[in-house]
Amino acid sequence: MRGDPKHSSKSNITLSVDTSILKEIKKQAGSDGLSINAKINQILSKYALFYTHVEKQESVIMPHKDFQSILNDVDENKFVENLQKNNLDLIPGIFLERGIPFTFDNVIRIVFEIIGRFSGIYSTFTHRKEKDGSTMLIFSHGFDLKWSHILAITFSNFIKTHLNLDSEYQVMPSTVIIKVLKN
Amino acid sequence: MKNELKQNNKSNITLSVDAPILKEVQDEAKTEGVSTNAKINTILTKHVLFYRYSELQEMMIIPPKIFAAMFEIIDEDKMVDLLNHVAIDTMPSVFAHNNIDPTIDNLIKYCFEGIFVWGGMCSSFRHYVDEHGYRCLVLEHKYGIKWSNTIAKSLSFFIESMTKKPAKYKVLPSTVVLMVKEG
Repeated sequence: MRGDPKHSSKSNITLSVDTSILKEIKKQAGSDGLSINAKINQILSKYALFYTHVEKQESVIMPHKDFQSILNDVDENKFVENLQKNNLDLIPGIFLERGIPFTFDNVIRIVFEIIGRFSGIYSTFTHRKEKDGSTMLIFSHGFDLKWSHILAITFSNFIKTHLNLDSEYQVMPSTVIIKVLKN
Repeated sequence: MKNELKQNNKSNITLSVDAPILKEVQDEAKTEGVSTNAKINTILTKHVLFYRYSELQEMMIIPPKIFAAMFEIIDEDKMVDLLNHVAIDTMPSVFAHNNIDPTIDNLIKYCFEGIFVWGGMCSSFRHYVDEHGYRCLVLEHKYGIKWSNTIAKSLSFFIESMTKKPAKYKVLPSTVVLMVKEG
């Protein structure tokens, strides 16, 4: 499928790359246990799927500590409203641009496993299907309870608005659990 | 297009790249009027100099409208303090890891033309030498006079701490001019 991060068809290309940059990437590939080819594929995929949008949008990239410090002063409801209006509303456009069907499974795979994690709004994400047909989405982050509330409300609203699925959530200081109910 | 970093020594490498990803990179290069080789060099350079650090430090990526709303309620001095931490901690670390001398030319090449634009601190950057022999660094942004004051104070501190040269500044609502004496 177009836009899928795991591709099978490959194209060969010969590049002339800055030696110092190539040396650095080789070093990183070595420490990640990857070949240079796999490492460059990973960098290009990440760029095409995520950073190109960050750049086009002219997003601000901020250290974790600074964000926490600013978060302490921000009104929670105002922040939720802003996140919904200015961030998550862009997501369906990314799917459309790349010809990816906007299904719950693809939202998990593209939004929660890739975009959300790269953007630093949480550090780990897992999901699983329950026996009753519901899906548990579990996010962990390094901020505080206020951020858990913001994520829980924003993601639940996003799931309801764009996928028409109901959910329930539970918040802890560094973890959010969202149970997406069977349709 | 955001600023390109230019480096000299090149090495040839043949890669097998995911075809849809390569196609996206090629399309973007065409739109920007650069070769695929130049575009991939830029993506790899950005990875080595910026995105890998932002991932390692779990930086937050904030859309501009959300940042503007957050910045409105933050005390200016607090924001200057937060940015100054980047100046005395993150940037010297990037320079040390990549064995880059902290000269004004390198600050321009790697920080102002690169990391600061990529990180969303400003939307464009240019520089020139004025009739009094000052190197003038001109940053443009869309966050208003408060942001001009904040980055002017913080970047003059950054230049002084990195190069040990004094820096003066002028601010306008969407522009900051930093002036550093040449020689």
